[in-house]
Amino acid sequence: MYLKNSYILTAIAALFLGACSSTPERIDVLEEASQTVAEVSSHPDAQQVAGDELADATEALQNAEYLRANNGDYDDIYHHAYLALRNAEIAKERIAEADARERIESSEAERTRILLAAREAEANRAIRQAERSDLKAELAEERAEMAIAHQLHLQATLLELEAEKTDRGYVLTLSDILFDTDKAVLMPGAQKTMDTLAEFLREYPEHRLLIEGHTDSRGADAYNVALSESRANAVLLALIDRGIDPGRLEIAAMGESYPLASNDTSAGMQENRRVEIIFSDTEGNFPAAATRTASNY
Amino acid sequence: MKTVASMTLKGTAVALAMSCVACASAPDIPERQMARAETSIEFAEQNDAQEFGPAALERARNQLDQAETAAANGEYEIALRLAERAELDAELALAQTNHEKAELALHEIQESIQTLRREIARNQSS
Repeated sequence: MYLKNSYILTAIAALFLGACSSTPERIDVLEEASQTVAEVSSHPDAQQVAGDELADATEALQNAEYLRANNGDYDDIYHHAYLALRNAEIAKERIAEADARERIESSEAERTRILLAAREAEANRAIRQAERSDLKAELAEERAEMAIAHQLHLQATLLELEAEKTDRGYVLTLSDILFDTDKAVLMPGAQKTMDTLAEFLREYPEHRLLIEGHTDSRGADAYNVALSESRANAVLLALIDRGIDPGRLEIAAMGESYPLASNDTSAGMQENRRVEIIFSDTEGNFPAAATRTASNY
Repeated sequence: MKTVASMTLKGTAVALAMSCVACASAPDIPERQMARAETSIEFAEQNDAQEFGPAALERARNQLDQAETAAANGEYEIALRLAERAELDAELALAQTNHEKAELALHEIQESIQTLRREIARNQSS
């Protein structure tokens, strides 16, 4: 019923319009409106974002096209086409604005995500750093433990050599019986001690030895000094024979200046005839108290 | 189907109305429409349309001027149409302005993301 009515009305309108004026072949604004309306309608967001403008544009375009088809007046067609075009353009701007706003939202979300990730990375870095310093502390502790173990082993080795801890550091005393009387030749029983000493020096390459020869008070001082030097020298040579660097060995001839016991008894004198071997510290230095002045030499 | 029919009907009615006024003048000055156009122009101007939608704003002003002239000459129908077009152009100028402002805001936030990325890259390398 509606349709039928509209046809009749259209026909009447056409008659009226035809009476008024003629229409040019082509109306630019109508072409443009038609294109823009089609473009906007095809946009998926158009209805949601710019429904009103799109409806107004579509309606105005239909009016314009209707008038055009029915030879309507140019001004009328122009006016409706103009309204259609502007409404479509407004719709287009609204859609573009909505799109930009959507991207703003996702960009803000992205920025938040980046910030969070950065913060997390920062936290992880801090944790790694903490772990690294923990590891460092552990290593230091381990090294300290190793140093202690090394020290203990060193002490054990020195004790094995029957070295004694004195104010001159560790001192190993080679007694008279390891030497021929009045001679600077090591007895066979001293060879084992030399082997152990050489082994020690190989195991602890930072240590050095001070080899001091001592005698009793019998005989001339000069003789005693010479004898003490010879005996210290015998030890030195025995160690060099075992491959020890001479640079790590020092000798001193003390003669009779530093007796351990009274020279009034033969037992005391025997005790005074000796070679003392003083061990350096790990730096290769001897304790300050270790170095005595070799007298009469 | 009903919509299309009613639209066609509407179109027909408009055509009839147009054709009537085309031949004879409207009875009154389109004060209301002219006031709407003016308000829209002012609103657009207040929202920086001069900067972001100058062409449309200029069209709106020109057509409102012409509408006033037409109204003064007693051409009320012409004045009404010009005022209608002026209002739409002012709305378009505002829509362009709002769109452009959103683009600027988007650009700004994208820049800030770039800066942030650069800073993070620098922090990680140091």
